[in-house]
Amino acid sequence: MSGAADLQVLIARLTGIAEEMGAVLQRAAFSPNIKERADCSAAVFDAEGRMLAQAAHIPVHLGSLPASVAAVIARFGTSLGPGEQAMVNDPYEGGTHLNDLTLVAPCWVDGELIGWAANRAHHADLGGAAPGSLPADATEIQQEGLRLPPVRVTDDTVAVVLASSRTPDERAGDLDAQLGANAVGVARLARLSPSSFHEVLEHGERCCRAALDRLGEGEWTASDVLDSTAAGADGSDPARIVCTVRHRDGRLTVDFTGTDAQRPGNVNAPEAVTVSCVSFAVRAALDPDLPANAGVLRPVEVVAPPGTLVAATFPAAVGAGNVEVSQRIADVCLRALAGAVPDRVGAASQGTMNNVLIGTAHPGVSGAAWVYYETVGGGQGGRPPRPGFPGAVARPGMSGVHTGMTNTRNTPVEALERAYPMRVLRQRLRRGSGGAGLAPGGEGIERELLVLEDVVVSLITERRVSPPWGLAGGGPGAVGENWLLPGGDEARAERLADKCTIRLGAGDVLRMLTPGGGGWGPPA
Amino acid sequence: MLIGADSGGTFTDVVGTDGRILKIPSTPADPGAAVRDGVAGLTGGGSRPELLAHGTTVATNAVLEGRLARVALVTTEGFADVVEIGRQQRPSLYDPWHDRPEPLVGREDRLEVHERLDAAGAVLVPLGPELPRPADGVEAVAVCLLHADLEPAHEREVAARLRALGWDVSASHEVSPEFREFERTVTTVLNAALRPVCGPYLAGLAGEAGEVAVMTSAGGLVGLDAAAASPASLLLSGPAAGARAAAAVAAACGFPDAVSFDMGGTSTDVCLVLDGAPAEVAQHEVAGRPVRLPSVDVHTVGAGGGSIAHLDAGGALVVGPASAGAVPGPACYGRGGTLPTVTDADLVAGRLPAGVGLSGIGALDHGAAITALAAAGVDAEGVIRVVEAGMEQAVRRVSVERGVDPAGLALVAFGGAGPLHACGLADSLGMAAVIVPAAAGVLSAVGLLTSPRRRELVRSRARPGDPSGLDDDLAALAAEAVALLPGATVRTFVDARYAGQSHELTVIDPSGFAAEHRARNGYDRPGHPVEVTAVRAVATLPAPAAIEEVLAAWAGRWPEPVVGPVALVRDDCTIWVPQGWVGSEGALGSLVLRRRAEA
Repeated sequence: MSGAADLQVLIARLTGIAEEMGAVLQRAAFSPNIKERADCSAAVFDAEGRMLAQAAHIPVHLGSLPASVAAVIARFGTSLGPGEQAMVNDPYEGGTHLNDLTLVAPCWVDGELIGWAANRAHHADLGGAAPGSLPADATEIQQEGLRLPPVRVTDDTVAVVLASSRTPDERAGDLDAQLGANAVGVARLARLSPSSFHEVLEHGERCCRAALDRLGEGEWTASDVLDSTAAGADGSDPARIVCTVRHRDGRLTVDFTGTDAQRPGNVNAPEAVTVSCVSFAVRAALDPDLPANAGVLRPVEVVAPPGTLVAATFPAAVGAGNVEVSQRIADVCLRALAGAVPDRVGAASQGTMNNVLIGTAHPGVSGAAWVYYETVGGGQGGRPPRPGFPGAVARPGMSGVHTGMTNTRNTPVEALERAYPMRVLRQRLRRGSGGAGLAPGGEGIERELLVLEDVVVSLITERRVSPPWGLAGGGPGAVGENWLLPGGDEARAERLADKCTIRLGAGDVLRMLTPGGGGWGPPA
Repeated sequence: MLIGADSGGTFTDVVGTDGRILKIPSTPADPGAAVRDGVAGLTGGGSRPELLAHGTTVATNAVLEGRLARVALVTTEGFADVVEIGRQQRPSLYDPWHDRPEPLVGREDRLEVHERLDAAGAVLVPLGPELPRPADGVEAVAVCLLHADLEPAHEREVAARLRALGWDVSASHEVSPEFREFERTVTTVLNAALRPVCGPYLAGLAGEAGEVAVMTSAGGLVGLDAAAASPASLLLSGPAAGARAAAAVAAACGFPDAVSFDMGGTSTDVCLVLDGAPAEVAQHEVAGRPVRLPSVDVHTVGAGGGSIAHLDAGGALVVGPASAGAVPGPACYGRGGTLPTVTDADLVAGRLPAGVGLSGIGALDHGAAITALAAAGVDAEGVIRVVEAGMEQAVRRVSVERGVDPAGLALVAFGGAGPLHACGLADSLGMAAVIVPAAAGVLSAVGLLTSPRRRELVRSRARPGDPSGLDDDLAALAAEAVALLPGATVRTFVDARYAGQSHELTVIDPSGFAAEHRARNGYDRPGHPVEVTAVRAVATLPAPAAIEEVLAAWAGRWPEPVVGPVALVRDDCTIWVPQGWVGSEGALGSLVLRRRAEA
């Protein structure tokens, strides 16, 4: 009677393959964004494209990789031969935002297609209107950079990618790493017997059902807003996301009906991103140890009306969908789930990734084109006592940390200053920015960056207007603030919008204060 | 006589150059007591040994148990919170309650000084005259200023002023002069926090031998003074010694490339061995904290003989991460444990023969093991296969990370549970052989006597892209290393990368970088400029004793022939030889096991 052991051995091997692919990708990657910040993920799939295991370094990749494999299968069927790979980044055909380039490889054994290996990496620049390929003023996808439907990886298609980027050397190295990671995944997957793969999915489904048992039956609704959608006539108006969670007859429906229509700016998410956010919220609120496979989502239905902020349709720009809309979708899902399991959900965390993209294609002192991408941590929401630990007490949120849909590392100040013509003047916790509460919110970060040559800066940030909410009587966290100090002069400081693309001259200082987390429970 | 003494959680293992061993129950309240007892046991109260080589857990336990001194941290103005923000990551993607390790310095003890260097180490803001004042109750001070790895003048000045006031100061340019401020800060703070803990302990051993040497994380022996000055370099003391001895045994058996596999009660250490030496890294982690000091590249898995098996919500058989520990321990220990562990599965499956007694535990309770497994709905063979599948991933991880395929390598098994699971593990990975060293139960203590005396130095380079002066930098560092260890052989290395990369590879010189990049990462970039961010020097003197000498007494102790399936019970460990495996004695009194077809 070793079914339970065989199952776990298979799960361990599949997970091991995904982790090994992730290790190869991260080890071999050329660019700091993948190597140092780990903005990447890897997974293996069965022949039908159902995900069997994933090594995710950031949650926003969790549910969105399967869409890429589905798009490759839809376009190529079985015509991708052994040793061939496809790549895709088109948000309207399996991608999320253009920076995320996904490579997909079939696994053939003796003429039979037994599965797929896929990995995704955030490429720091794939062209478009501003360095970093996330121009804050984009109104259509074509302005955001190179758009690749699923295509074969060949010398010709790679040449197109390199020619589109401001930093082609990085792209070449990163693509080599991605190809190598899939090659490892395919070779190892080929040694497993596909006849038991379905058992892994059934295990995932059983785990999810057990987690759903923690919810009573019912319906809970929550809504929240994005500060702005950048470009367009209504760009500075808040945009609403509504989420209704229904648990009935063993099924969980997460329904975004009522969410605002997509906008002309780039603050729109493809549906694949929304699925990632739902996966994240279910894990965070119900069971952090749920396996990462397609079976887990079988009892879960995501209803995302097309043409809304959470299921954008062509030709909407979507650059901020992955990096900012995703944070709000996660917030709204968690808030709705808090109605069902109030002891398992904390107050809102900072709710933004605080994206900073700086670069130039026309180098001055540095002598070469460069693109720098950073996301900045903030406050985690205050937390109720840890469930399942009798005697646990409510806990303040962590400070200066990534929350929600990302978890990328920062660039060390010393590494940044030695690599780019910039200087960090200050990087401290933003004292007092956490929301009041029995468990106060964590604090945001204060960061000042001096640029030493003329550059283009894009800021893609949120929670500059609507604060991270408190819960169970706790107060909101402080909103974030973006400032420009021309020439570093405090007297000329001007407040910047939450999303903007601007030019800075040598000597200008960018000041960012990131949001604090909300407080949980009434303040003492 | 020369003596090696390795402090462990349960036992302190003591080995003499004459091959005698002692296992003394560890004395956690005063770890030195067991060491002293062991030395006395081997010398019989006679003359003092010439040398005591010591592997210590004092630093590690202080970190794991939070018994650290209160430290004030001095930083550049504007950067007091680096120690808390860290790399801004959370440890778990999905568990909101999984906190980062507590910052080692409280907010009230983070002090800033007015000063600033630029990215090349030039002064932007001169150091101000005011000196921060650590609060009452602070026991030690760490100083870590931005870019001090390039230009330590400000740090040196701050440290000197504080020392003049009587403070015990650890300065980052002395402890870990490498760039990336968070890692350097944590390493320096840990060092400061450990000095008041480790100093008195180490000083208390000074009289035990003519010379007392301590094993560092890098697998080299240093004198007591150096160890006390830099206790952050002792955090992998025991595992480093074990990995070094395992590497030596594997090489003597004809396997210069191998994987060491040290499976104990609660955790398992795995380390890749290349060319007869454990792989080394410039940074490792202890309790979730980065330590930027050279170490052997030991990967620790939180599973061992005491790991508990259960069925998860989806019906899969999972082993760990919970462990029964020593108390209550596995069900078969008869100490009140009722949950089934790997050890219970080993007993029920016949890998630990019924009736065998474990040292310090006594006879094992077969019936209790069966009951515990049945109550949890798991079977012994299943538990074993699952725990070995987890180990398989760990072995793959340490080798694949270096671009090495574990197939074809030897697996060197030691620790209480390693030799019970090595053959199954080797089978699933296609490894060529399993080597069980002589004295497998006290291998780390053997390694203490047979590891080199060693010092490592590193210096950052202000202009990584400028190759001029590199030879001078290397020669200067080599001279510095020899001054620390007169008569030593010095090897030098460089940390190199392609311009634009954020990670470095350590190679002998820049001309070898492209080949290493290709071997490790699968590609290189001909014509792309190569930068050198740091230079390194490693000075070594021969080990106090040759491993041939220490293990000489162990030859001829294996039965001939060894044909699986059979469990070989020895004083210090039990070896499970499955069906289809055969063994014979190899070099240094070890047992070399292979699949029958290859034997």
